[in-house]
Amino acid sequence: MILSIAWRNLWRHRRRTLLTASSMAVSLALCIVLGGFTSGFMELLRAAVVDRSIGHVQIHHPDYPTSASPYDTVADADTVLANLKALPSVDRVAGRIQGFALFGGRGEEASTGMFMGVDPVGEAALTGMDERLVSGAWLDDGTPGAVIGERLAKSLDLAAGGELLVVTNALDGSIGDRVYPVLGVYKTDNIGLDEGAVLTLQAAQELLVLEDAIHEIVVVTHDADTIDQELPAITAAAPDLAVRPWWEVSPETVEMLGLTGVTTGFFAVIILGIAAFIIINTLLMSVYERTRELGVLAAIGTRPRQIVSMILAESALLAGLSAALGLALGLSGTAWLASSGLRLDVGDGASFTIAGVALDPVVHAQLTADNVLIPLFTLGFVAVIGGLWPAVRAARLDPVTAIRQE
Amino acid sequence: MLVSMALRNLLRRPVQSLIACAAIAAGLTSTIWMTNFQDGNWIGLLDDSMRAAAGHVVVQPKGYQDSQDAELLLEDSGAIADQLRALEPDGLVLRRAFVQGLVASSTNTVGIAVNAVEPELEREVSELPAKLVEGAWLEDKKQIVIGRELARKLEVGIKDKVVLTISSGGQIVGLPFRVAGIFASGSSRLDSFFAVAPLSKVQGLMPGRNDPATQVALQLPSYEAPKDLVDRVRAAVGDGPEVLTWREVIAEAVKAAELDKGFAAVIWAILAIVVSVGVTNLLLMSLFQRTRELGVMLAIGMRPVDVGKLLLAEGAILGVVGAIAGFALGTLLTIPMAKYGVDLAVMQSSAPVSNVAIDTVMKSHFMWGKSLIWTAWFMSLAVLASLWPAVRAGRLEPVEALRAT
Amino acid sequence: MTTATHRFAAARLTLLLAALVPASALAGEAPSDPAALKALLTQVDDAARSDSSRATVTMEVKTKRYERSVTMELQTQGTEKSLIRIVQPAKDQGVATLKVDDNLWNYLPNTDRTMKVPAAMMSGAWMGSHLSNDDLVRESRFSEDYTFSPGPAADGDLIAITCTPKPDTPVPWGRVVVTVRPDGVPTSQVFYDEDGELVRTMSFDDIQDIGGTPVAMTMKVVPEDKPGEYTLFRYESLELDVSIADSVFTLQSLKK
Repeated sequence: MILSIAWRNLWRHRRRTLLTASSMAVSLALCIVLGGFTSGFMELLRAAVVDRSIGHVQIHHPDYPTSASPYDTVADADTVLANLKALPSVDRVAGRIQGFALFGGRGEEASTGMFMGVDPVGEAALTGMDERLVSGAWLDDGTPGAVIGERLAKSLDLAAGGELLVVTNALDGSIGDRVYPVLGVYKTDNIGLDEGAVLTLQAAQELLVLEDAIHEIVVVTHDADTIDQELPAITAAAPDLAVRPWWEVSPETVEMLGLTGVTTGFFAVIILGIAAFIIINTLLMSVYERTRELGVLAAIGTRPRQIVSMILAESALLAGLSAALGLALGLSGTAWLASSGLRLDVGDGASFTIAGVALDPVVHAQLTADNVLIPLFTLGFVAVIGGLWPAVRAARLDPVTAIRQE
Repeated sequence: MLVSMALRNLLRRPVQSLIACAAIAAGLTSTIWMTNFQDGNWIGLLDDSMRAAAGHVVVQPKGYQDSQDAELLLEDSGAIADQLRALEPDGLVLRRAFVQGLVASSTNTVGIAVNAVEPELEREVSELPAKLVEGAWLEDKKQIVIGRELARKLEVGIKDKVVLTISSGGQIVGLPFRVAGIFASGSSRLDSFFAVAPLSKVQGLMPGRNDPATQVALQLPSYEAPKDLVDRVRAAVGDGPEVLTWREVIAEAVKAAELDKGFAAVIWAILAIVVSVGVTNLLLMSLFQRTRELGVMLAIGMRPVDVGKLLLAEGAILGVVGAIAGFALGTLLTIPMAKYGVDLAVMQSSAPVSNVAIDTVMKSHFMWGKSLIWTAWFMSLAVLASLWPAVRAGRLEPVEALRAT
Repeated sequence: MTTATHRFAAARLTLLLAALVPASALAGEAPSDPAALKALLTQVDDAARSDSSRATVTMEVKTKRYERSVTMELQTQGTEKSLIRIVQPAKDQGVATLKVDDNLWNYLPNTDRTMKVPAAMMSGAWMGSHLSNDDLVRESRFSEDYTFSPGPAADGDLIAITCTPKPDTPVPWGRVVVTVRPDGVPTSQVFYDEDGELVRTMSFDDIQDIGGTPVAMTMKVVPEDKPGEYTLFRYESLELDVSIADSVFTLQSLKK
């Protein structure tokens, strides 16, 4: 009963209702889009650094994380890798060998740097490094050769087709030296990698006299949010080894992401706050404008409580209307951003690097419950409550004074 | 006349006027504050990068920017520095050498990057002196300032001796240096691989070269350089070295900042729309509410045009008052953010090009230009919002209007 | 490259030859006067500098990770030039290291390449031993780069000399205590860091007479922080004062 009166009231003042509703709806919609956008931005960073670089879980010899000694190896690597691949939660696995070597080109120049031994297919799936080639081709188990970083290529004046000399201290104390045809040149924007080279696992094992051991296993699961739950299974597949999730491997990344999350959250709160404030003002204004009308109501005998209920009902309906409108706009806006993505750069085409990882600066908004519900309930709450105080005030008005208001 | 009438009208409806002003003020406060914080932080970041890493204009050996080859060096750097000083007496001219080398203690040897600088001059521009946790900044002696992680790896403390070795022109030369200071920059990368030593002493490690340096940087007090500066410097130093602007040198840091900037632009756009729409709707609603009152004015003989002007005047007054309040409040709230900022742990991107210790504090910076633009925007918003009702008022039938509620 | 801690040494492989002392070496008491000490050590250095030698050396390395035995042929000319060629084990056979002044080159027969050892590798272990590449080239002449004082007390008629590096000397030692026999043959060199902590000990043993000169035939390098590890050098054969063509110490000859 009250609701229908309230509803009719709203429509009797169509313009006022529409103005208020549209303002609230726009605020709601934009806050939803904002939430989706910031989530998408965080996801972009996280995917770049975690998925594509650190991986979800890293497995090493127990001492390796602190010693970084090439002697601290993961023995029997094939078995462990096979076990891991067999786990249903695991999406991609790759093993790596790491070492430090002297590199030589044609002349006498020598350069020092890191080298990695990887599984060509696995590593490409893991980090997409094969897409980072600026010339030549990626590694292939069947083809002897190495790929080198762009900086190394420059300092040794080498290119695809040339020959790379790698000299290192093998693990049995002897000198490990080999010449590899340069298959390709890559650029990752990670200085350490770009000053080094990448070999196949077998080549690295042979060079270092490592037998069947490797240094590192990187695991990426299907769902980054449930890594915690998958850890026991992964640990079981890699007995006697240090199994660490990415947040333990790289606390700096956790900090960075957390920091970004804090700043984006900070901005979102500010915007939400301003939106709420403006809504309250709008509602205040609307009630004040109706002082005369409410005075008439009081004069004809409507009880204060009824006036309050009516105004509350109006607020609720208005809020509901705005919410519906706002949700529709917000959800469709977010959905559109989610699929087509928003490009954040100024258009010079070069890729960005965050923490040494290159990323393509396109943000795909994310629709999550939080992104929708938080603005919805916050603004909805404000919309309903915002009408309360003036409603109470209105109910206490002396009708005569009120009617005389303009 | 019009203005005093408008003012009276507004004061006759104090609460509504206040609400309208408050809305305008809040909108402006938030946009100004946000702009100062976001843009200001970015400007601050660039400023830091610029000051610490390069300068407005930088003279380097030809090809150095692309190759980063530590073997490329300018000779007679002192003469080049003098030339730049002659060009811009107000500016600061700094010489730096960037070399790769090894630092060895009795327990360990670590490969590092060394910034060889002029201690007194560098002190004015570098972030590191402020980040020393032990010891003091360099004097022009065989001293070295290293990061905390590096000190730990080498197991050395203040006054301990380490040997700095660099390979230059095929020769390997090492000299002992004493640790003068240890810094904690907040970036674990810098703290582990970065050291600073006096240029004159590091030159001693490059015996085949005459007064070598990697870079001679010219910095001016403001961060925007006069446009012809690069040309004048080029004319002064000739064709041998390359002359670059600071933007070219810290391309890496600029790119990272632009990602943030892109993000910030979206946030800010959202804020702008929310507040603009909100304020406009609020004003419109209020104005449309006054149809009856306007009818009265027309009925007593005011010309529609004047009614319209009256509304515009009211809008203008609200706009001005609200905007002034908003500007004042926004600026006031910026002050603590500009002074103290928000201290965050550092977000390190790989910025080896600039060897920069990125400031850990996000600070606001007073963007006066933009603040004024926003103030003008909100003022005009109030007037613009009044436009539609003002026009409509001109077309009102007094009788109809009087009957409105 | 192992991540073993690296050390700079004031001694180098050819310091083995510092065991050479002219027959006119001092006998009797330890000179307590710094000038005399300096003279003594200068003689040692001078002797090493002027002589050439040819030798077969075995090197035993025992580390926590592996044990190796390497046989090599060594030719030297003074302290500036030396050529080392590995004979055993088979994997490293033919690997050669040429030192001329401060420069070091390695020849790797496997890949038939000659590499100059860059600065960044200088602190790396040489052939997996406890000596670094830098040890091989370090040109610290004791007499020039250090100041000397007698003491601490040594057993019997051995003379102990404390050598303190001069401020400009690029070595991270706080001091080195050299113990010599009256005939000038060193028996040990002990290295301390700036805080006075013992870092490394080199001991010389098995003194034999080679062509009229007493020479320590073994040198053992023991790092203090790695219990159980050592590198032991032993002369299997040694000829002094042989004539070696200058062309031996060139990159061309490195390859052969």
